Amino acid sequence: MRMKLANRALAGMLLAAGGVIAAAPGALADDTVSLTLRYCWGGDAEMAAMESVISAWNDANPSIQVTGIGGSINAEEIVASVAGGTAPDMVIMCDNGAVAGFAHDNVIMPLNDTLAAIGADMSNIIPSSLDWVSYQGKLYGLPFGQDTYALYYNADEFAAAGLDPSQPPKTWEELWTYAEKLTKWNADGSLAQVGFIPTDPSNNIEQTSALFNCDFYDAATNKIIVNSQACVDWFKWYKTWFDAYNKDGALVNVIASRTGGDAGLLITGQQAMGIFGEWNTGKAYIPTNGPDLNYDTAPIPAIDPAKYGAGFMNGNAFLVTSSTRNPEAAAKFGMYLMTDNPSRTMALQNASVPQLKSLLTDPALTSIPHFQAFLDIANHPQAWTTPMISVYGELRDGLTNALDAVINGGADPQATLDELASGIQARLDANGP
Amino acid sequence: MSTVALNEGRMAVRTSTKTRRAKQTSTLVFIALVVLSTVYMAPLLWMFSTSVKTAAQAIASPPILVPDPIVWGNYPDALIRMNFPRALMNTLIYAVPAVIFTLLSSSVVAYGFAIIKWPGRNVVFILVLTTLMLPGQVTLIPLYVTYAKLGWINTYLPLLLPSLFGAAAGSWSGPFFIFLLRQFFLGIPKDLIDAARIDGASELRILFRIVMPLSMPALITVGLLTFIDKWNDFYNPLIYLQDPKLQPLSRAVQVFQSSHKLDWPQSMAAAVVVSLPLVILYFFAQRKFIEGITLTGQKG
Repeated sequence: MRMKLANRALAGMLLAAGGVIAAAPGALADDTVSLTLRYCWGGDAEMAAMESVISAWNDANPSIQVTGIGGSINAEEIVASVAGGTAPDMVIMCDNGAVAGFAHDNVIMPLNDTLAAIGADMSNIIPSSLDWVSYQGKLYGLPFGQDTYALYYNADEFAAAGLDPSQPPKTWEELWTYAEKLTKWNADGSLAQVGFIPTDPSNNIEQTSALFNCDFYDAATNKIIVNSQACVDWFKWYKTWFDAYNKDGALVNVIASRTGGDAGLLITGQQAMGIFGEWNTGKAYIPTNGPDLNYDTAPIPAIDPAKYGAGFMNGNAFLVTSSTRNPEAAAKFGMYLMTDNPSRTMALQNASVPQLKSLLTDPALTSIPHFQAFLDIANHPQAWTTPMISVYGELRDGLTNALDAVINGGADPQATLDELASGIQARLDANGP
Repeated sequence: MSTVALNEGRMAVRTSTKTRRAKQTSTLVFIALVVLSTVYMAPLLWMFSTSVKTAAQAIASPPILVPDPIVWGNYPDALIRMNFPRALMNTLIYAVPAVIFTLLSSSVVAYGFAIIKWPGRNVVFILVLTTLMLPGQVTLIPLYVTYAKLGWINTYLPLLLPSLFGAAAGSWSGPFFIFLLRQFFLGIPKDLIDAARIDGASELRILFRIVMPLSMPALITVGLLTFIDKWNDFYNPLIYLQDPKLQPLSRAVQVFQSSHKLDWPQSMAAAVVVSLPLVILYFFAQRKFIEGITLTGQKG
């Protein structure tokens, strides 16, 4: 009897939990297509901007209504929801790093046919911006804002060192010479100011490799080529900086002291030149954190003069999940994002580079101080992105570890990169591109 | 007499030396504890300090410990931005029942492993323990698909109902709690159990009337750890709760993080407020924990 009572009580709790706690999803209207967009921005200002973009679409398109769900996205969340049949119709990832893996695993759908079916005009999208949403020759997404990187430098320190602030370094040799002049040592052997730090705020693997003609992957042969001579020389370049400036950990100590965001060392005067993303020019970044900093931006030096002015690009990828029942409606919304107003709204909100040619000359963006360099880099024909292969995440992690082993562990660059290349090649062969 | 006096004198000297040494030891222990406490408290102090700074002070170099002015306004601003009341309610809706469910289910399973003898008991127990080694990523998709088929996505059920089954699904803690309670139950005198059986008590009655009251310290520990686990859980709400209206505290604090920038003062203010209930709960449970040991008397 008591057991029965206990069972009933338990069942009652379950039902109560199910009844009270379960939240019913929103009701569907009659012939209106309802789409769900999961987007990666979680900050309240970013979400407000994205919701305004969605709201403008909904007002103009009563037959296709979009509901936005903001907040950071874990790739596993999308994979699981597609497997479970509850995936959103569309996703905006803040990092295109997942695109190749999603495409490889059929989590997202190729858009070429759907875009052709709705008569999408792609001519206003910067061609190289489409590279980082493509996989195996097919377009798996649309770019919606992108990041590029440039050399930031302290113009006052340039002048104080006898360098012309209007003539930033264009080659790696010039960068070395400039850095020597801009570096200041304390009497105790520590660094008062570092001319250039190659590994802060990130290790700049993606930002500098191609400027040394080091490619990670050869699509024609499906081979990992990170152990080429160009890549070995690129790793040696990193080591040269640490050999020269990290005596008794002097350089690492400066890096460890950084506060105040990516450009913290530049703002405090501990660093004269560095590689940073375009968002640091946005009003919430250097203008707020270091309003007195007199700085400028320029392309990152290159080993090949023809590549000077080009840069690494990646960004926010608009994707359509493979489980959507309304791919054409989703594609129409995607193409709406490829128009000036939505792209401008998010570019200004995120201080990011737009993917549209028409916005590269938009006064709202060109008037941002020091932003022009990024607009030019995005428009450079030799701009590059990460290899769009399913194992790129492992390759990037492997490169990070290999670089650390070379810089801090004294490992041989050639042997380290040989080992990495063979390991990732095996994974690539097993997994497929 | 003189010999006695001499011995008493020696004893007095020895006692005095012992007392002095004991005092010295106590002082050293006290200093060591103060140093260690300071080390452990430093992040919390820094969190609080940053929560009352301006944005510029939060990233100043060299760092500022005591801000001037002190910006108390970060607290109300942060709570409004993260919609604190709703996020708190959303968290409690599943965290509190999860504690009750975990205590019930883990106790029943642990009782079966510790008190009731049945063939293959130890093998099954080891099987349960092996689930501790399963990474969450391995079970994510099968669980998600199951919950999706049941129509539980965008509900609190995936965060709550596994607790009714030893919480083995989707949580590291379930098998651990079963293990912890089983070990505790094994220490309960067998004579008590046998006496109850002779008096005609059912196994459930023995569990709820004898074993559980004698296991308060372990139960409080399990309850506390479950609550902390649910309160801090970011991953499962991220996966199963897409509706912004359902999001708990662990996800609400995201509003301070934009693509490349974190609002340090307000995010730290939110962190202080979100941490506070756990700190209070810990101190409360710590007292109860000691009370439980004293009252239950594990000597048997």
